[in-house]
Amino acid sequence: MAINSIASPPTLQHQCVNFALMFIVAFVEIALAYFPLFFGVSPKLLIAIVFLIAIYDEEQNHFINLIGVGLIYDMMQSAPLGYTSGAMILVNLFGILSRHRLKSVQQSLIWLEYAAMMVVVMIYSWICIVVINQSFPAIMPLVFQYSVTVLLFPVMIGIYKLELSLLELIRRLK
Amino acid sequence: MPNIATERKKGRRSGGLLTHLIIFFVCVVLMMAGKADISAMNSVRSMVAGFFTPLAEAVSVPFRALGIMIDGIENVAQLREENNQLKEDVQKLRRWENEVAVLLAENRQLRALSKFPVPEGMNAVSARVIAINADSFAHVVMIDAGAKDGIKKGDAVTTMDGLVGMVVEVGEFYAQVLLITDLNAMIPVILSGTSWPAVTAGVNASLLDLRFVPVQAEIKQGELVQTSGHGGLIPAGLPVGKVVQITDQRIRVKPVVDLQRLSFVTVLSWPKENDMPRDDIFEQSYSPLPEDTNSFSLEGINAFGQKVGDAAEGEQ
Repeated sequence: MAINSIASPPTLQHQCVNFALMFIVAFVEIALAYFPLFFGVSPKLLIAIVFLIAIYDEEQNHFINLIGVGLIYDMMQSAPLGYTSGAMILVNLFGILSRHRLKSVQQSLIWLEYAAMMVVVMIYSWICIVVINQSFPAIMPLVFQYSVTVLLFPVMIGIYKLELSLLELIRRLK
Repeated sequence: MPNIATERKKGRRSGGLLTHLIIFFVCVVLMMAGKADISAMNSVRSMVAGFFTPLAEAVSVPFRALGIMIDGIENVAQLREENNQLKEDVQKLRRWENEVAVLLAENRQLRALSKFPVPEGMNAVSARVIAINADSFAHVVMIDAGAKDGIKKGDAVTTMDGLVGMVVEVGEFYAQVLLITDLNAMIPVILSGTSWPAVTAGVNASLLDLRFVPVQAEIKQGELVQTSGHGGLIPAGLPVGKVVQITDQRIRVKPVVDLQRLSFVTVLSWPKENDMPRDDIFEQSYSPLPEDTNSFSLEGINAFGQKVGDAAEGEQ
């Protein structure tokens, strides 16, 4: 499941493709709530894709992408503005700090790192919920949500590969 | 080394740790501002949400369809489970319904028994029919009351409707009742309309034969036949049956009690102090004709019983 870095297309196009990918993934995440299993606990696909972009993409996600998609997501979900963006910033930072280390390790270790990062994001979510609502939420739905997100890591890798293929196609067309 | 340098360069271009932290802080401030419920922010939020809602709807269509499909599959499984549960419930309810029907019938019969007019001087013991002889040889039922309840051989057994039979065997806790339809059951009766005496005799069938009817008796269809009390064992006035068939050869009586559906009966028993000795019942009930003492002469009485001649003049 190794992902080869590709030559960077022009930054604007690349960022636009990243934005589009995150945007679609955000809406897919919202749509997943239509499954009874995921009602109220959709897997955090957006966070996963941000992590993958952060560690694999030569062009890092621009802040505008992160904040823009995060804010739209929050507005769609009636979440506090900045809640998702904050999580995305955290993940992006996590990815940037560990991208050199992760490039030379096995995919399973990346998955482990991804799981650890998800624990951090879960704690962040929990703190946000407690602070904003001033009451303690049930912990099990959160654990379920982030556990499913961790389990879906290979799927997200597949989706990210599709994005890379799209970028390659754009590059060849040019 | 050149790679690391490139990465660092790109890292600077995209923002370093400090920038990330600043933006993260901005996000936190945004959240707090959202908590403050600023109206301008709310209107922007609703406007953006409204703008993107159609897109969210469009993206959600396949997921919604898939969700409905999965939901349908789950529903089928649930319905199957629910169906099994409902079948169990129906079985349970049917059992309860049967139990309720049985209890209602028992209740009705017990209420009827409680209103039973007990002849004066007799004891009434209620009992449940616990076994019915299925053999055509004898029409006998067993009841769950016996000697301990004061039941004795020869006691009359009745229901609210009328006579059932009489006790023929008594155990400590049970007794056997010979039904009026049994071949050996012969009950002294009278026709309720004309008071002509007769005897009903069982023939091991559902109808009884009415025997020893005086030739002068005019019997009507549907006439009630009731116990005469002759012999002293069975109290008088208990309905036995109704005349249903009159032919030259025989008169048939249908018992008023539905003997096939007996559940509770009342045993009418004489108290011990008034008890009649059953072994010499014949002697007790038999009265010999009065001896001729020559104290009464038929002389001077015509065929109509009127005094004539000297006897009549003497009286005048």
